[in-house]
Amino acid sequence: MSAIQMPIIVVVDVVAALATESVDGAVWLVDSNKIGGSTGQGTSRLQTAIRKGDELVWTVMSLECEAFAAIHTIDIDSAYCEVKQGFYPGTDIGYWLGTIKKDPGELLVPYNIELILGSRTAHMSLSPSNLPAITGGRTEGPRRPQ
Amino acid sequence: MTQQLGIVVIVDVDAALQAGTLEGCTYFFENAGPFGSTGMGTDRLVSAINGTYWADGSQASEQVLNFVVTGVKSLPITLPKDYAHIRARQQELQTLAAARTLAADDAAANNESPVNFFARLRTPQYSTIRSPSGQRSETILLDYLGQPVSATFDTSELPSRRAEAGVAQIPPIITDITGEAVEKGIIYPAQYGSPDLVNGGWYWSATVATFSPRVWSYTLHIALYRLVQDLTTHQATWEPVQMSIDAKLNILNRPMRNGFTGGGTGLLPIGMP
Repeated sequence: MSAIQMPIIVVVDVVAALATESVDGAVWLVDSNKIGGSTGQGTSRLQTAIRKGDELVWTVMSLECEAFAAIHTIDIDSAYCEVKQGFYPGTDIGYWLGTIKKDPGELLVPYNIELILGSRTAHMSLSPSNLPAITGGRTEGPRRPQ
Repeated sequence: MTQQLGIVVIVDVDAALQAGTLEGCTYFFENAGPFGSTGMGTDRLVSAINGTYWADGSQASEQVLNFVVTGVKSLPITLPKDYAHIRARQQELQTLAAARTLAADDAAANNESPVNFFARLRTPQYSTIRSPSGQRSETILLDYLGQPVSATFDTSELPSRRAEAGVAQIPPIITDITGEAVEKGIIYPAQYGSPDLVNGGWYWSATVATFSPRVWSYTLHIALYRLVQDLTTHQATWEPVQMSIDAKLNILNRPMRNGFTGGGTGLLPIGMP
């Protein structure tokens, strides 16, 4: 099975997060791998099914187009996934690219997303009980571009 | 003041095309979650709408719903609408610059033959979008990182086999809003022009008459796009596939209130320095 590139959209209700000073309940994740075994779509506890060599592409989407949201960092065990920040060429719109170094098998490898929201200087992230994760066992999916 | 509700619809196009339905493959989000909306992140959104009456008992003004639809494998909607063409133009300019370098007198120092150069040459892969009404327009295939997916002069590997895998999908579009809430005059949907070029400068919006408190359903008609390719000409085309999904409004007999203050929707409080 060949490696794939897999987008993950991080949806944020920026106003709700700033009003409650918490992103718990104001962040939802969706990936493109429902047919490949990912679960928890539309929640913060998305479990993305992956294989070694896959590339994950995280982008952020604010519910209000006027509200600023960006990913500051993806905090994940680098033994399993190596992450780096990138920008769409010619723009200041960023993404985070994660390369799967090791297939976790049945293990869940949780990760956190540090977000920059509005003009708040301190970054915000999910509490430990609400984390997304990667796990092994991706069953099928489209191939990556040549 | 009219209240604005943003409804974001994210579609897993691959899963929907495989299942033949949007159910289970569509994720609704909106920004009234803290005010009682339910079904966030699922295909069963019920938007809570306070606003039948003002706090003083008088008739409230209408609520406005704004819809944004995208695909989970589409590029971020914050990118310029013509981003693919911008990227293709940049790649073409780089290719021309490389060709000029090769043609220059000092190209000999590079020790590269034109044959090798042309073998490495990459050009953008163009595709046609066929709209639900049959109109055709053109776009360029990009991957999820905004890089043009190239067709090379080597046609031994059909680009379609690569393209269908790692290409960012053009986002689904709303083609109509119908259903009980429309037929009964509870919502008045329409497509509007926008200076923001998301979805070609068009977006769907609906005003809500808030005088009939109860749960009302409506149907979003959405065109997904499937990438197909002519195996002879290699021409890639995004063919529309029409699907629909229901959502609901829960119009509540409660006064509108200001999300910042919890009070009435009047002037915002001015912070003291």
